[in-house]
Amino acid sequence: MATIVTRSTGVTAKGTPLTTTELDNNFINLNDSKYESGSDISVGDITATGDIVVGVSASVSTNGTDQASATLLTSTFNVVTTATASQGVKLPTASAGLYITVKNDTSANIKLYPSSGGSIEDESTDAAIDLAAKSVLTLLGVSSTKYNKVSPPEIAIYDSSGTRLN
Amino acid sequence: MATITLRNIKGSPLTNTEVDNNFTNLNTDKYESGDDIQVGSAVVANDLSVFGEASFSTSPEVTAAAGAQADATALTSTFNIVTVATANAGVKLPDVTSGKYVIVVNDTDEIIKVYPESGESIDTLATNASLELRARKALTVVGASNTKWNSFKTAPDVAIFDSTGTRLN
Repeated sequence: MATIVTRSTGVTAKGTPLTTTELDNNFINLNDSKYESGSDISVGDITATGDIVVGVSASVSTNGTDQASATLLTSTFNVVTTATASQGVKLPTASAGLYITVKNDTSANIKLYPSSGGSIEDESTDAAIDLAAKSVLTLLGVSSTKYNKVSPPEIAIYDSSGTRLN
Repeated sequence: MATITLRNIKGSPLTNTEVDNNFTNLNTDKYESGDDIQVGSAVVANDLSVFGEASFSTSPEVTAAAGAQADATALTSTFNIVTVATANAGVKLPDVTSGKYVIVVNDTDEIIKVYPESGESIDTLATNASLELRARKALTVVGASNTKWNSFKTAPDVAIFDSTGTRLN
């Protein structure tokens, strides 16, 4: 709760008129402490009885052939619609609980990089993982430097010669 | 909204108690960091951090309806669990907007059809065309625009056939 001083009611009642500073501080503290539309919020439990609207980037293009030049993903849901094989996209800086889904809606296999200094599962720091054509991957940040995959593992099918078919 | 007393509305100076109550009611009724919050619709333009549990609207017993798009059962929640269906019965997504997030679980033994609203589409399917959701599968869709959903299946649907060509799963 915001720190406020009241005159005659409530647990913070002082019993005398508020000074102008106390009055100003009440407004300032309420304004600083309370959320409003557009705020980045950090809460305990959340219950939404209506719709949930999340960040979506519906038309992402891959870029570059290394981590530094890969396209930075900026939304909760990211749909890659334009890609050249082995070009990449890059996750935002990890934090515990950060939840990102990437859909590769192209016919090219692409690279998914962590942010600089980060990693994905047991891969080396800064190493990319492959995101096959027409596949989806959901990742969850487990620390400030690491993502884990949380979607089901991809099923790879090979022919008798060892060539991957999917 | 918090209950507050305004001087211009009241037409006379506020009493000390009214001023105190304005501060107290604003302090009590508005959310701040760490609160457990309950909202109607939530639009997350940037970041949302939830350190406790997140509860979303859920329809736990949806019955899919036989017929075409117009006949399909309208989905009304973030999480929708279809528990009753005949083969190829349908459910219909709500009107799409960018970022709207809906999950459909087909908790039946039947294949069902997931339709968009009239005039809308899913992925690269034709306008009004349905997406097939197989038995015991879940589908996440997120609005890409005001007319199109993107689907996010987290694993490819692997079809297994027996030697006669009958699909087994």
